[in-house]
Amino acid sequence: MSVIESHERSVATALQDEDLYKRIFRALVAVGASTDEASDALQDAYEQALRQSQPLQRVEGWLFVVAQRRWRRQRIRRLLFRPLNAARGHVAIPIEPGGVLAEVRKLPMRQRQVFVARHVLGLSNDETAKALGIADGTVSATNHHALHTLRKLLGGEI
Amino acid sequence: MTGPSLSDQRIIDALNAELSTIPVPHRSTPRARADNRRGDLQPRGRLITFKDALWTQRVSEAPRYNGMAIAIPMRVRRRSLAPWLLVAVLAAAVAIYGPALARQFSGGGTQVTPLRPPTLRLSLSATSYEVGQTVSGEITVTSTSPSTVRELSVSVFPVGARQAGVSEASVRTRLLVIPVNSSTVAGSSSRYQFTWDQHRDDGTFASSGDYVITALLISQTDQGNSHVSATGFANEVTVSLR
Repeated sequence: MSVIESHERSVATALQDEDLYKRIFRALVAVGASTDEASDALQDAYEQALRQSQPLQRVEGWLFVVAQRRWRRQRIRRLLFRPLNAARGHVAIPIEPGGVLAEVRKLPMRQRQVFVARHVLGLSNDETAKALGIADGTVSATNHHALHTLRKLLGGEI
Repeated sequence: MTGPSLSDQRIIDALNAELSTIPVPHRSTPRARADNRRGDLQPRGRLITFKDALWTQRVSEAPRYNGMAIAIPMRVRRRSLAPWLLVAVLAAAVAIYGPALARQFSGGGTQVTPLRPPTLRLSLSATSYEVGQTVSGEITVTSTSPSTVRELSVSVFPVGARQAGVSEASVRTRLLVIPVNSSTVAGSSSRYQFTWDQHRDDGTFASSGDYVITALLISQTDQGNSHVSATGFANEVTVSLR
């Protein structure tokens, strides 16, 4: 099988994988996106995946990182145009105050990314490190810090 | 490597449970369909499966990967006027405030034309005096622009010292300041008399010889918030003391 065929197959498989779509969508929401933002960013990431000429290794991680980048770019644009966009409809996510999701969203961005990639997306330490472009040890330490912070924030609620 | 501890696992489970309650929009999305019904379409590259692509207008043009149609067209986005409104607001702001800001940064709120100093003409009533005699003369100030004369002074410098190469700045200390504080209009002339009473003054002309006398004037004009000063020098007149 050629490299391109392999790439097409991996992307096509990813496209057909509804469960993967849901997992990345939820990961984006956990990182901080609204449902609209997550949906848009994820669709953009899928589109970009198909445009890649190089074969993709670890499609899940790649899609997560690219979608996240798209979301952050969109968010900056939305913030810039917020006064003018106020009149437009926006679907808010019902987040339970004091819930785990609300606390996860309070973590620093790097901790959030690592924690979500590990535990929502289900990537291994190694896959997370390669997707985010950081060292294995950094992933472990950041994940540990995130869990420690969450334990402190949530106290005995869980 | 050890897995998460029990309490960590409970946090993770709780998070996933919470996330699972959030509805995941289908990839062809009800939102897109609703937008489609509004007829407000703009191709943008939402990816949908072949099954989902049934509602698109151009299924036949959709690229395919391993038999699966990837329809690119029907993600709908309302064209936002926000960027154009922002550009329009910025352009209006630049048009309104730009010239004022440019003036501000180019120095001063109003344009300042350079002040031309008045011309001075010094004349003495005589060019030869006895030592101890009062030296008198007249200065005519002709203004070329409206200004206020702030200071008018007459200075004396021994010609001998100049010939000896002594710096005028170090010797020209004998000044007679004429009290003047008058406004002038362009083209007007004013005359100021002065006398140098050597009995009263401190021996400016103590010894015989030649002296150079000249006058100096400092004028000022107010333009807006700026004060511009100009200095004018009169002709030099040589006087001999015997």
